[in-house]
Amino acid sequence: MTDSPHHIADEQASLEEVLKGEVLRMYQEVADTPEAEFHFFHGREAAEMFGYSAEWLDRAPAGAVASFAGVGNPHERSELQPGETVLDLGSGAGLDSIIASWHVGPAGKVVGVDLNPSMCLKAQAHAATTGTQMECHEGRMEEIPLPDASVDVVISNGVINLSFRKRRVIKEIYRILKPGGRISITDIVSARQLSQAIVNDPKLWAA
Amino acid sequence: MLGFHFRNESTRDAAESYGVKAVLLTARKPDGS
Repeated sequence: MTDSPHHIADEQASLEEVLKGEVLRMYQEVADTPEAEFHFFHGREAAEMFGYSAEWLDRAPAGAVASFAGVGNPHERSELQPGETVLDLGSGAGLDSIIASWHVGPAGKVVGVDLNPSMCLKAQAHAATTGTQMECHEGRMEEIPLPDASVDVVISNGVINLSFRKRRVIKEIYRILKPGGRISITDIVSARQLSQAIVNDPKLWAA
Repeated sequence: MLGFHFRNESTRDAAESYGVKAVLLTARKPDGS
């Protein structure tokens, strides 16, 4: 039976692994060769388009700005306060984490989570050059490697759309938020059910 | 203002035909939960 529940689950798990590989490849490429042509805007051009201030972009490490691949500006309504603990879900090269660290100050804490361990190292190195600290954990957004009720604010930028299990991601975000905690997430949504051909195409998912 | 921007117009047109949009989502976890 090709359409048995087990078969469908196996097929989805297989597709999810392919997608993971494509996501790792795509965003590593943006980080390693930000000057290359991609079909989406990235780097300073994209950040300015989304309203990141010139002051932030001048102050942040050039590498973090050049590798920015977000879809919006989660800081617009994050209302971060000094002393808060922030999770940047899918922290990439670290631009959003660094901006968050400026807002929460030395009494606060910014934690990044990224699928790609080399991106975690890059983000931490970028943060260190600005005199700020962030810790970054390799991990999947469907299994956030943080304790329950440990975070005041979750920010994320163009990452949750990459997951096959978005409901699971939202449950994880809820789990790690403290009571009264907040989210400020920019992402892309589709008003229509995508065709199976699109759903099954890892390159389109990863983009 | 949020928008969904593609460098390539045909990609943008294809995305818009599916109603693809960029959104900013904010929410708060209730106290005591």
